[in-house]
Parts: sequence; C-alpha cells; structure tokens
Amino acid sequence: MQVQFRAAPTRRSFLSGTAIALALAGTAAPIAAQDLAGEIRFSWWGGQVRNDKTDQIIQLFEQQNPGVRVVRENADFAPYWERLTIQSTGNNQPCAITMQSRWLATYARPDILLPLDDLVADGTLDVSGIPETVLNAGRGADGNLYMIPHGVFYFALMYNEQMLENAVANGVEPIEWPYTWDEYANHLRAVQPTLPEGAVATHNMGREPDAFIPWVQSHGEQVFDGSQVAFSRETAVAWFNYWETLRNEGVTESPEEMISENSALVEESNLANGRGYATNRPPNQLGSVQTVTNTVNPGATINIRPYPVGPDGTVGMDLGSNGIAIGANCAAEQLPIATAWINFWTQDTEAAGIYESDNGVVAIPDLATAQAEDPDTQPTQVRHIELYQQVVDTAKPVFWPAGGYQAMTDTLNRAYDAVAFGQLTPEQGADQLMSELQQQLSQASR
Amino acid sequence: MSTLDASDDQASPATMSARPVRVIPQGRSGSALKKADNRAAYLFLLPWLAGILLITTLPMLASLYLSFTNYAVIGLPAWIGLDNYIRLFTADRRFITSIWVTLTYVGWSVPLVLLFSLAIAVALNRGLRGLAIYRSLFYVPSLIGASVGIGLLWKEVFGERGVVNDILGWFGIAGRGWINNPTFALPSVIALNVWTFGASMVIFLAALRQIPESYYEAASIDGANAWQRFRRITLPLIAPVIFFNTVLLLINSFQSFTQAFVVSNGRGGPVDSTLLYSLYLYQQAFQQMQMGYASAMAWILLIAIGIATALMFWSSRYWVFYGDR
Repeated sequence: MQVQFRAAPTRRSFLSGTAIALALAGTAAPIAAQDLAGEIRFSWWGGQVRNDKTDQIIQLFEQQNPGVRVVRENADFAPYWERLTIQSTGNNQPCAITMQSRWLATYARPDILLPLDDLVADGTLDVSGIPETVLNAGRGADGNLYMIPHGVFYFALMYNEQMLENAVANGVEPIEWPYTWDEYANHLRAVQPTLPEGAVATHNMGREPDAFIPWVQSHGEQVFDGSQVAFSRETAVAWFNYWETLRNEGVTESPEEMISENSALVEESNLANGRGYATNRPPNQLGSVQTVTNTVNPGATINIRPYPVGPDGTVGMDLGSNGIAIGANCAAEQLPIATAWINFWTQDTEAAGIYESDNGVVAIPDLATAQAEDPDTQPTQVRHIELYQQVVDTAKPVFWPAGGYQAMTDTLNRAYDAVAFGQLTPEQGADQLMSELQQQLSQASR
Repeated sequence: MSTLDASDDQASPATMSARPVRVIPQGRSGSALKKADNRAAYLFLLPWLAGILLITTLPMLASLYLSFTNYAVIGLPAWIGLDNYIRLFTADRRFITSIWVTLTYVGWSVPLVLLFSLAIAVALNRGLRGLAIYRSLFYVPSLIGASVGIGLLWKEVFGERGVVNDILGWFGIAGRGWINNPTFALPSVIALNVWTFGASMVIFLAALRQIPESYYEAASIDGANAWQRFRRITLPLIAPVIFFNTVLLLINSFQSFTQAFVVSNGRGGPVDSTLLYSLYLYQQAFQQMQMGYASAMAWILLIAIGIATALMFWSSRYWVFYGDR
C-alpha cells in the first residue's frame, strides 16, 4: 500500500478531539468531577517528541484539576528500568508509573505495585472500552492486575517504497501478506540486484528478539513457559541458518555493520539513508523515520508490513502493551489523584488525540479507529493503526518472565554475533543461546 | 638526639624563655586538658570520620555481606553462603572471559601508556620552546579520555564510516567497523586508553627535571652515548616514579569501565571481546539486578588488585632505586 504524505498539520486540533469525543459518546464512561488536591510523581520513558506530548497532557490534566501538580520524571528506555528498580528498592517509586508488559513480571508484586482489581471493581479506575485481552496483559504471574494498558505495541518490518517500485519495474514480483519466511527471503534475493550499489536488501535481524519471536511463534512454538525456555534447539538453529544464508548471499550486511545498524540512530540508519531496502523497527517510529528520511534521502517513502508467517501460515506476531501502574508506596491521599490521572490518560479523548498512539496504538479500539479516521492524524500514524487492526486478531502476546526481555536480548545478541563472526556454528550458537538464556531466567527467578 | 627529660626542660629558665609556654589553667588537671584537646581533634576529624564510615566502610561491609547472599535488588537478600563465589569460578563462562579480557587489556595498556608517556616526557624535557603548550596539549586527553563523550567520539572515529576508514581509503585500503569486530574492538579500546597518557607524562616530566644536569655532563665526558646515559642515569633515577606510575596505572586499568561501556553500548561486545571485568560486574548489578553476585565479583576484584599491587611492591626491591639507600 502506498502511503500518501502531506504536510504536518499546523495545529493539534482540539476541534477534532471534540469530534472524536462526540463519536465515542456512550463508549467511554464520563469521568466524575472530583475536587482533587495534592501532588503525584509520574514517570515515563521516551524521547523529546513523547516528552512534549506527555507534558501537554499533564498540563491539560492540571488545568482541569487546579489543585493538582504532576511531577514529571522521564528517562530513556534502558535507564528508565534501572532507575525504577533502584527506586523500588528504596520504596521511592513514583505514584504513577508507566509500565510495559515485557517488564511487568519483574515488578508485579504487591510490595512494589498496587494491585488494581478492587479499584476497577468499584469503578474508581475506568477501564471501559479496553478489550479484556489487552487488559489482561496488565496482570502479573499472581493473577493480580497491576497495570491499566493505554497503548498496544507490535512489531513489523519497514521498507523503502521507491526501492520496491524500482524492483517491480525491473520484473520483481511484489509480495502480499501473508508470505512465508522463505517467500520473504526469495523476495529479498530478487530485490537485491535492483538496489543501488552498496545497498542491501535487508538489515540482518539474526540477533534481534523482536524478529526472533515471530519466527519462533510462527513455527508453532512458545518462547517461554513460565520462566523456562520453551522453543526448540532446531528452531534456533534454523533461525541462525536463515540469516547466515542471506548474509553469505550478500542480501544483508556484514556482521560489523549489522551491530552498528542495530544501535544506529534513525539519522544514521541504512533505511533512512537509502542504503537498505528493509529493516525492522517499531511501527510507532514510522513517523520519525519518515521525517528523517525526508531530510537525508528526500523523495523516499517508508512503509511498514507484517513479519512473515510460518510454513503452515501460522502468524507469530507478538503484542505488548504499555500502561500505567500505581506504586505500592503511593500515599492514601495521593491515590485519588493517581487513579484520576490514569482515567484521564486512558479515557480522555483530547489526551488520546494529543498522544496520537505515540507509545503503542491506543488501547481502546474505538479511539484507535477515530484517530485513524481523523484527517489531522499523521499518515504514518494512520498506517501504524491500520496495520495493527489488520493483524491484531491473529497475534500471540508473549508472557515475559521476570528479567526475560533483558536476558533474551543479551543472549541472542551474543549467540548470533558469535555465529556471524564464525566463532560458533549455528548449532553451537543455538546451544549457547538456550543454556545462557535459561541460566539468566533461573537466576532472575531465584 | 636530646637527652633532656621533662624535668630538665622545666628546670632551665633559658629554655623556658626560648620556647612557647603552655599555660595550664588553674583547677584543670593535665588529663582534663588532654581530654579537651582530644575532643577538639575528634571534632575536626568528624567530617572525615563520617565520610569514611558512611561512604566507604559501611557500604564495603554491606557489600561483603551481600556477596554471600542472593539479592536481586527488589526483595530481601537471602543468605546462600559461598554459592556466588563457587558459581563464578565453576559455572560462569563469561566471568572467566571477562578475566581474560581484563588481563589482556591491562597487559597491553599499562606498558604502552608507560612507554608513550616516558618517551614524550623525555622529548619534552629537552628544553623545547613552547614546552608549556605541548605539555598542556598532551595532558588534555587524560582529563577527558575517560569521559562518555570521548568514548562516543572514538566509536565514530573507528566506526564503519569513521575517520580511520576514510584515511585508509586514501591509500586504497578497505576499512572495516573496527569497534564492531571482535578482533579489533579491544585494541581500539586499548588505543583509547593509551591516548590518555598525559597524567603519567606530567609525573615523568617532573621526575626528569629533578635529575642534575651534571650527571649527564660527567657521563658524556666519560664517553657515554645517549642510550647509555638514558639507561644508566635516567632510568635508575626515575625508577621510583616508574614504580609509582605503574601501580597507579595497574589499579586504574583493572577498574576500567567507561570506554568499553560506551563503545559496546554496555554489552561488552562484539562476542564479549570488550567485556572488561568492571563492565561484567556492572551488567550483573544493574542490568540483571544480581547485586549479591556482583558484590562477590567486586570483592574478587579488590583482592586481585591487592595481590597485583603487593606483587609490584615485592618486585620493587629488585628494580627500584631510592637515593637514600
């Protein structure tokens, strides 16, 4: 699908927010006006664009609740979790904590996060419109609800539309989802000769959990079973072989460039600079990738598409959610503010309009549809929401055990790097991956 | 040495008039005065005592205790005896890797920094014009070299599209991602450390300036060439400073962290090639949140540095020359 891009709107329309509100009348429960007074701390992760949006939403909340002050605490993604852990140790975590399903298991304990079931049951927390499956992503291993999800994130492939059009003009068959992993590899092989000199058809994703998970799940296996590694050695070996074959055929980068590309800023990335046809990045970054591409590689259009499916057509896409949790240390007089803040963030149409699904597609489907239909929404965000709606029903959310995401990233990085640099065979790499991943999971669950 | 005792001292009016007299207030005994003096001394010592107790001793003792526990930061520590230590030496492949990486790093870094800093100091000691400017220029990297900014700069310089590859390209040599290659990543980090030789150089320069010129003149008259003068005069006379710099560099190198952290994005890669001991310790403590395990690693590092330093002191008796012996 070709995404048409137009100039960014000059205003963040309050009118459109009102229109959405009218459209959704009856789906989102009105939030009871309260005389709130006091101060809470609210933490989140993200870059400047998200910081600005969050600040706008906080200002709006403070305007509506003149006695309330929300203290902002933000950080980049990795240090955010380190800080939260240290804060939790000292019982100094913020009252309102942005949480992610991938990290929830580490903190989902009543002495760190407040169980929210009772607050939902008595209506203090408004979860109307949030699908049950999405809401359940906020539960810990003990079954308690610890997070109210406000955004659902997924993973997809990004590609350069112009490179694809050029390839098609040179006789390459376009592919339509659902395509299998083998069909996708063949597509990349066909595209490679049509690319400019020095460009590669795909970023090498052999070391990246966001790509490995759909591979595992599309082959009919689970990633984890509790805190146990659940995928098979054969699946891991096949994954390494898949990428080694593409690398040896020159369809993807050298191992050195793969590592560099893995941590590259959008500005430096092969995709944005016209040196790569396809890669994997979170779809919510589509807007920023397009913006950068407009500067460094004018004329190029970036689009997204789902990960391939398994040989029997099984979809392996993982879904996660971002939401807000309440610190167990939140004082009784702060609790009404924290709950009002969560209700505002998840249910208020104006707040949702400002945030524009910045950290995952807004959890309430009607709000997502309204955003997609709003003419003021950025086309990249529309595409982000549309693709989500296309694949959400077949996705398989992974339950991440405590420390699981960190462990998977660390061990998969090292195992595939060793394979790519010829220090281990794919079989040895798979053995190392499985043993070290299990070791770290066991360590985290001790 | 004086043989006068206190009674002799008090018996001599001449001595009394020449020395400051301690006035003992009436009604206060000597011991009361001593107590008052001690109180004043302790009062002045209080900030330091508070610092060493609260910032150094207590955390060290806590770390020692935690090293015998399973402590995942969140939750309470659980006593597991020597399990962390046993697991480190018997079941942790990366721990052994981090030791080898660190020994390689120390083994190359320390001699190279010593050689570079001594060579530059000798060159600067020849009475160059603009010495102060050169000295400052060479010293600056040691001030900023361990910073995150320089680590990032280094990453760019040695990166796939970095300056090093641009220069190699002028000579038709195809470059590579030096920092992202397991063979070249550690040498790149060592090169960054060697670049920060300025602090050692300044110390060497100060030592070289203490050697009397007459020694060299006498040796020249006796027919000694430049190498012989350096080998027989300079080296022995600055041996204590070489020893001092070596011990400092050794301790610092064992604890190196920032540069490897920055160039590998905190992972010690590629393929653990830059997994310095302190970086692995950090990963255990702050990425995997295994604070008990990391504490055990910290104590092993402390003991290893202690042994290395003790060995240096033991060996010094064979090669360090002090003028008063």
